[in-house]
Amino acid sequence: MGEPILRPPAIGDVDGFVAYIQAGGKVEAGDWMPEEYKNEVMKIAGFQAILEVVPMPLFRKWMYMAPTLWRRRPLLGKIQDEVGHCHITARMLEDMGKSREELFNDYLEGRIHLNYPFKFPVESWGELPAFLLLTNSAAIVQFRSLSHGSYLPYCRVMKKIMREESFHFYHALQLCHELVTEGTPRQRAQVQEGLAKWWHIALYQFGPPEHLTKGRDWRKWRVKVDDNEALRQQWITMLYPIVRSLGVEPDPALERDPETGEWRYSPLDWERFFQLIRQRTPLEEWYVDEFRRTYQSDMWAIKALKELPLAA
Amino acid sequence: MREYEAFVRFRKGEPLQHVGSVRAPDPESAAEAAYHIYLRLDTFERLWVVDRECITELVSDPEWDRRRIEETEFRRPSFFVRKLTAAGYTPPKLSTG
Amino acid sequence: MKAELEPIIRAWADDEIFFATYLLGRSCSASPDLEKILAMASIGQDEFGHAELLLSLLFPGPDAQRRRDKERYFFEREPQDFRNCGLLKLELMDDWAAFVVRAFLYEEAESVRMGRLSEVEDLAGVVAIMEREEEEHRRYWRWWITSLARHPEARQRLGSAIELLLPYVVDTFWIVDAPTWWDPAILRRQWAGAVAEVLAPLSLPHADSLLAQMASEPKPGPDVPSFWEFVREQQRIYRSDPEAVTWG
Repeated sequence: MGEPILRPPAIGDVDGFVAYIQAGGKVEAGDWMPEEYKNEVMKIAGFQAILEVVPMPLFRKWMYMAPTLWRRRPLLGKIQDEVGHCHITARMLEDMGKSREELFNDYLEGRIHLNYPFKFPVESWGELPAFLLLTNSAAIVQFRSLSHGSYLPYCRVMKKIMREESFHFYHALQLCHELVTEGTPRQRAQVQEGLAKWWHIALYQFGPPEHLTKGRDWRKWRVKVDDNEALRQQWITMLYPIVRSLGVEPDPALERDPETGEWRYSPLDWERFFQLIRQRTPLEEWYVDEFRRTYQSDMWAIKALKELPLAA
Repeated sequence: MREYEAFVRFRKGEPLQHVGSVRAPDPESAAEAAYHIYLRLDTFERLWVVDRECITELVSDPEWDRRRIEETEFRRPSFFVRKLTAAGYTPPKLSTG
Repeated sequence: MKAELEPIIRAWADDEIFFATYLLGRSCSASPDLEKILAMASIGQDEFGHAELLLSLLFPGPDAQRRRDKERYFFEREPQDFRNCGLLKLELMDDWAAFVVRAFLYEEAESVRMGRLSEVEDLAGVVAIMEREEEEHRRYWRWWITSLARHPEARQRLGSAIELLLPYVVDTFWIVDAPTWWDPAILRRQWAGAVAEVLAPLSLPHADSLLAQMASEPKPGPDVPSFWEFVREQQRIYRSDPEAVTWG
């Protein structure tokens, strides 16, 4: 195939490992890796796993309130997919020595937070598909990038997740479209206002530009492959025509540079972002309460099954 | 003598694939036998052997599967793409690679 | 489908809709037991599929019209007009022992119902389709009951769950306007027999009372105002915009 044959580093050779990664080397499960690299993988994967499962109660609420029986099935299909995503990621973390209990305690004790969009409630049925379309597609852009990272087990997780994301995307898009084109003026307004609202929130989902972050070593380890702004730009390219086709102009300042292809947009308020990130909104408190409640109400059964003597 | 199933990951990044089975008195001999039988001509990243007794199997029924696939069309992207197209909207292609 | 079957199918469809709803609701939990969440989602989707199958029997016709009819049927009925059995009027989201016992009891009743209806020409096909999945569901709930029963603390919880559910087993198989050949008394005794097979060796607290109650003559169950409220909550958005042609 003409690929360069990279020699993996010797055990303990951190500099050699970094050089190997920088040259495009990949790491398989069971390979030696520096502690820092392992932590980088677990941090990124842990954050993503939590994100897939903690917001579940939001979807229970919307399933109960969904004014259509038919639509509950694809909606719940998407939910089932997300839990599956959490599961395969949690399994990978378990293989790396991080137990599920540790992962969930990281969230309950505030070491992992949900990402920015989950601070804000979804307030109407029409807003739901707008929220799903924009935040889900942002996740697709992020996961697509991660699927090219240096840690192969995580790349496999990402590839499996990506195979299911296309259903989520087209489902949300179709629901938005149906309500906009066949809905009452009120239904249409809910979707369009939802798209305008969640456009701005989703932009923050990619995180601050490079010069504002604390210079993490992600470039060294290449588990994460693209910087935040690059992904934000990819997302705008993907979603702007869609949002416009649904009758929404999300940002009057949005403009593409004809030479560089880069999007300019209304400035984002990163100072406010950093403030908000440190606080818990009422919705986030609710997520923690729900999680704690279910954790407790499920743990006795998990404990009981663990303590059973093996069947005769 | 016991039966072992052998699985190989040929190249980094790929999933493990089932390549066949071997009979051997113990796991280490099974791994060695599988190596000689299945990996003569290939480079590989790793090989697993699993005692067949340790494997629990679920076999599909094609008729059942076909019906199951039909009835879960609402979980497939193609279903929603068709709905959009039928409504006169050209959905964008989504690149997931 | 023969007109005399309608009351049976209406009750059955309501049972399946709510059972599916509770399962799917339970699957939307942030829990460390991911395998359980996934199982709830899978079983719930199966049951929802069954509900759709039954609703299609009630509303034959071209696809678009049929879909509208089904939606209206669910969202425009008064809460008191729903015909699901008492066991399926409780959400039980936070009590896994109760959720398991209820699911076990309901799925065993399903098995008895399907056994009887497999003898009805118009329904044999539908029953055959459902039975394959139902067999797997029954196995799942039986596994939970028998496993938890082996643990000293867990079995006490199962006992409390049985006590909680006792008042709600009285109306299973009782259907208003059912045809004369539909015999709730016989079906209930069969149901008690099937459940006894699993519960008898486990000696769970209150199990004897439960089996006695199950085998007794059926009668209307207690009113469950929280169930009516649950139905109203689900219908609220739909009813808020009567002009809407679609809700997606």
